[in-house]
This record gives sequence, structure tokens and C-alpha cells, in this order.
Amino acid sequence: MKMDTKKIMATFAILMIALGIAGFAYAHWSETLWLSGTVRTGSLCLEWSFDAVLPPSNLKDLDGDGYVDDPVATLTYAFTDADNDSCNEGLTVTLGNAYPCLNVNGTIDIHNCGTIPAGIAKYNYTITDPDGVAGGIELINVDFYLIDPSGGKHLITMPIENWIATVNQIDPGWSLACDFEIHFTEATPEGATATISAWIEFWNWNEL
Amino acid sequence: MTLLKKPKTAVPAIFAIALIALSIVGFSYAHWSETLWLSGTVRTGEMCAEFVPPITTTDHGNDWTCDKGLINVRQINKDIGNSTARSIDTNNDGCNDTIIVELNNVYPCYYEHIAFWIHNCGTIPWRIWRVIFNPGGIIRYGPGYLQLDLNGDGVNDIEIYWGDNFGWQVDPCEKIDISFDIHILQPFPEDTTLPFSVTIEMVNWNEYPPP
Repeated sequence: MKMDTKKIMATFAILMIALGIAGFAYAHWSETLWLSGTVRTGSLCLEWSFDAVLPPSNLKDLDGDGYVDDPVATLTYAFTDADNDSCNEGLTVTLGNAYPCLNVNGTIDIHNCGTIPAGIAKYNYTITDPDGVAGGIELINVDFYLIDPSGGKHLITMPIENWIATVNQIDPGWSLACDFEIHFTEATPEGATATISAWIEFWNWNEL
Repeated sequence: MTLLKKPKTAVPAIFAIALIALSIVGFSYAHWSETLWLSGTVRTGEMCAEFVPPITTTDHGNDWTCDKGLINVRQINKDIGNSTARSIDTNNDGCNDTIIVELNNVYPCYYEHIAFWIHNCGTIPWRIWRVIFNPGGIIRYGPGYLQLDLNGDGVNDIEIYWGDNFGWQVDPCEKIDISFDIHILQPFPEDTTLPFSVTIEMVNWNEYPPP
């Protein structure tokens, strides 16, 4: 029994030593925190949309086939995606064979197809009009408005230049649109060509 | 041991470094820009009308006559007067814009019927709006009868009946036939050359005001 006590004590001692060793080993408790960082930048993306119509009276039976389906004036437009980012950054509109009293109704639209609000930073345009076509064009109606992602229209009641100077923000999914109606007056010159080239540079809204 | 403890104390530093890095990254991405461009062209059409053959007269032999009011038109048994009609391009734009009508050696009651075609040489449909007769500035918006005092002596020297085709839409490349009668009246002085002119005015089809 006494021997058993010694054995037990020895066992405890060994255990204590072992625990001590183990305790020493566990004495360096550690806790590791880790950080995984990902930065995803947004996309600043804007694109054109355009639609315009000529009046039904513009259709005539010019080819004599018995059907009134040939346009006198013609309106074509094309989009360009030069950088293949699936956004139309270029718009080319051509109105041909225009004549006095012709009316053209349309909507031109700049859509924010990205994830960052954008605003107009710079713009410029060049008009080439040697024959004075512009002198025969009358703006009947021009309305600017914002279109929300659900299609709701929000009329911009201030002059557009004031809007650019103050609000100037197109949120993602929204569009800045312009409804227009132009009229060719009697001052429209015959056989003339006028061109306009314009560009608009947008910045992320917070840097404007 | 010291190294093993470092991760605990390095966490805020990593955040700080990350924030600094983000701010640097944010700074470097400032002024993102996207440019849209627009190219617009407007070409206006051309309204063009020209006289085209045939331009015809009736007197090719024995003369024709009629009663006052351009009625009872008939051919008579003498070839005394004669008529010609030809088109010319006065402004050298390639389109014949004028018809020269000449009645020679004519006399009271001489009758002539002149017919011609007007062709739409442009790109815009047009309609004949009105015809202006001079001297006198008489304007007609439809077919009808009129008299002209060519020498201003207060009495009319000729009478004319102008034909139809007012308001008819003439599309590009189409043409229409127009004609008129002319009758020399009794007061026309002898051995005299007196001019008259007729101006035909077209308007683009969409602005034709119906009479």
C-alpha cells in the first residue's frame, strides 16, 4: 500500500512534469487574425439612345407602285461601340432630303449603364453649315428630364445649363433625356448640307 | 516568441496600411471619365421643275381660228400666221426653265393651242400653286379664262384659257402635261410685237394651300 502510494506519487510527479512540459508547450497560446482584402472598383459607363420619327405625311407614292409608302425625307441613325464594351458611345444621325415645313420629333437619351453616378464635365461641338441650314431650323419644343430605372420621368424644370452647373448627376440606371421637335422653315436652303460634331465628357460625380 | 505575438499587434497596422493603400488607389482613380460623341448631318432636298419635250403647237399648216371666248375652234383655209415654242435654260443649271412662244404674222382671231410638259427634276414632290400673267399681274389659282392688255392702252389684246393640273402632286421624276389656248383679239395693233409672260409657281407638296 505504501508502495502504491509511492507509485501514485511518482505517477503524479511524472504527470505533473509531463503536464508541465505540456503546459510549457501550451504556454505560447496564439490567436491568428487574418484579413482578406478585395477592392472592386465601379464602372463609369454612359451610352446613347436615340429615337426619332418623321410625320406620316412624309410618306408618298414616289415610285408609282400604288402604295403610299415611300419617304420623301429620310432619317437614319447608327450607334458605335468603338471600344467593344457593349455601350454605344458614338451616335451618328443623318436626316436626308429635308424640306420646308418638315417636322421631326425625337428623343435623345444618355443612359448611365455603369455603377457610379456620373456628371457632365466637359462638352464641345462643331457645326459646319456653309449654306445656312441652321437658319431654317426652328426648335419647336425641347424638354430635358431624367428617367429613373423604372421608367418614371422627372422633368428638369431649370435651364439645362443651370442643371449642369448645379445638380449634374446621372445615377446608375438613370438617364438624362431630351425630347425635341424641330421644324424646317421657309428659310431652309435647297440642296444644302450641315453637320454637327459633338462630344460630352463625363466624370464620376464626386470629382466634378 | 516575439514573432508569434506579432500578428495580434499587426492587425491595426494592416488596416492602416490598407486604408492608406485604398486612399492611394482611390486617389489614382480620381477623374474617371467616359466620353460620348455625336455626329449629326442634315441634308436638305432640292425642288426642281423643268420644261421637257414635247412642246407642241397646233398651227402646222393652215391657220386656226375661234370665236371670242375661245369657243368654236376651227381650222381655216389659209396658212398665214405661224407659231413656235421652244424651251431654254436661262440660268445654265441644266434645266430648261423658260418656254419662248412666238406667234408670227398673226392677225385678229388667230388661234393657237400650246402644250408642254413640266418634269420634277428634284427630290421633293411639288404642286403647281399659281400662275401669274403679265402684263397686268393677273394671278390664277386654277384653270380659267382671262384677257390681257399687252400695250397698256386700256383694251385687251389677247385672251387665254389656261388648263388644269393646279394642285396635282408631282413626285420626283414624274411629269405633267399643261396646255393653254391663246386668241388674238380685234384691238391688237397691226405690225406690232407685244410681249406677254406667264410665270408658273410650284410649292413643295406639303405646303400647297388649296384654293
